[in-house]
Amino acid sequence: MIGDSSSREKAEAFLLREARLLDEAQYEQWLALFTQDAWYWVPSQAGQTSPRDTVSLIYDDRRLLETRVRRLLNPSIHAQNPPSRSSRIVANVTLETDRDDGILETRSKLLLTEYRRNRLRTYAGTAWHRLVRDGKAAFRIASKRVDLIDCDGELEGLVVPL
Amino acid sequence: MPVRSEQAHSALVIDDAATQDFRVHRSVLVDPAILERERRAVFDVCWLYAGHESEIPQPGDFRTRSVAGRPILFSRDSQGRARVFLNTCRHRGATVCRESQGNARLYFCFYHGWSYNRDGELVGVPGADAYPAGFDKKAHGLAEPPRTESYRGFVFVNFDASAMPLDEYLAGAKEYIDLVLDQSPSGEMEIIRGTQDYDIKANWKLLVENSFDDYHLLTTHKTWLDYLRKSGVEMKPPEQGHLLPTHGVGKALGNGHAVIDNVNFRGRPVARWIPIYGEQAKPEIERLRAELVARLGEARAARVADTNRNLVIFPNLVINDGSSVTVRTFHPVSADLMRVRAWALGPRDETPAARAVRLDSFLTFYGPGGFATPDDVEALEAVQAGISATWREVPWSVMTRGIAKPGEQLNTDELHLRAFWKQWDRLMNGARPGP
Ligand code: FES
Repeated sequence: MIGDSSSREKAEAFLLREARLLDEAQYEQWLALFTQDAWYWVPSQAGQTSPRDTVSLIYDDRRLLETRVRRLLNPSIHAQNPPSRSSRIVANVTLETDRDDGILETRSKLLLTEYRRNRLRTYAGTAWHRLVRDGKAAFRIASKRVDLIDCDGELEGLVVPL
Repeated sequence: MPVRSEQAHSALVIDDAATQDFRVHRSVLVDPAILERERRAVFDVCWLYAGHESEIPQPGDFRTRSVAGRPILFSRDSQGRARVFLNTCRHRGATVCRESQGNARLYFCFYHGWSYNRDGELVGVPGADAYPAGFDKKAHGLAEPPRTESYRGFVFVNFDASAMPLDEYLAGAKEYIDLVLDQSPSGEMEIIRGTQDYDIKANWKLLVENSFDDYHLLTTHKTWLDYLRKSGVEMKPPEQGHLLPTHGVGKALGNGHAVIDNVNFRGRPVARWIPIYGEQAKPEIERLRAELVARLGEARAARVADTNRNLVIFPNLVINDGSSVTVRTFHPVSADLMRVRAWALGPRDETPAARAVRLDSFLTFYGPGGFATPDDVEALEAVQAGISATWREVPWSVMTRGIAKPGEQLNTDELHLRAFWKQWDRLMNGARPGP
């Protein structure tokens, strides 16, 4: 395993905090976790290598991420009326890289259950976070990629962030 | 066993010019028996989109998918022709090709090992000597739909051997396909890799309506319009008699095809810049504009770049040429569930900068993670939920916008929706496409 265990534990604690903000629909606080040049990517193909030569499901730069959050907070988002309730399990967190310049890469497993309009839906996949150290204890998300196991299957709305 | 329709003997679409009435009976969105009739009367006699030539550039390239409930193998043969085969083994019926895409020299059926070449010919039969003398491999190639034809890269199949030629069937829709292709310097467009697949718990015909219904834009897509406004996109107050910032018309194109054709305000990756694209994209968009003008002349360049068009090719192909180009087809799974597949289309040899603008525009509007599609899905599912148990008490949907107006019909009127429903009704009453 790369890095000392305390790096891994700190990163894991950060990922759990991110998941909790999303579970609690604290979208503005979630947005605040990202750097100014961050991106959030959900590929449509297994093993997709680029968002620029292939259609993705989501590929947000910071500006689009802000738009996504604004939309989630807009009362006219019909796809969230009534809003979803969601529950995320983040597990199997490993540190993939831990560089001297303060950049960490984590791989984690996501199991998201979403409840809305009497339907329960499950999303499962692997999340890849690139984290930048921000002071002693904190991180910022420089990028987040989520590979859903059914990314090329028939999906329903991906309205609530993964 | 066929389900008896409660609505079997009365009109499903009322089209009465004298009383300026146009209504659609809601049972057609709910009743499984009507879906069974549709499968024969609509899907089995119309030209259905199978795929785009650019998806399978090399001999042996293939895609498997489902068209009108049939598993098909869309592939390029040894002669370089795009072919469509029914993906079922001539031995005992197993699905032969079970991958979604790839390149194959042989299509090998794993059940007993029969194999077919790129031209669909049966070339391998393990233990062939046990078959009687009359067994002819030539007669056991992969079957094809009765008809496969293409128009400018768009490949269609027809399960009716005596159908009119595709070229005639497309009628006035060809002009609008041509407009899409004119944005490419080479005259060729390609499907960009990757698809968006999603389910909608609603009748498939609701997505036909929704795909070119501009009446819903202001309310359903308020958050998306807020995004445009906040990003500095200019939206003038609508002129007298209009609901939207710019003028747009609805037109019937023959054989149930129809279009909305709008003066653009939402931006076009081909040659109409909006602030959302960013200052850095401006020179590229200006270059594209200059190329269009040089190649097509001012008037045609403006027609291509300054209008956006949502085209429905009857029954289930949508080509929306707007802030990106989407090709979308959808098939009913049951009366209240459809399966949608959408692709992004772009000019061949597009520069990375222009392609990036196109993909961003595509994703911000379309797909399960887009800023617009989820609200459309919500609307269609709300309709389905609203009518499924009430259609006996509240049997009719109103579709008369613009009906009393002489001459031009707006994009927010419903002439184009009525064109779809009239054709649907004709076919359901036993007519075939054509005059
Ligand atoms: S079913 Fe294909 S070889 Fe037998």
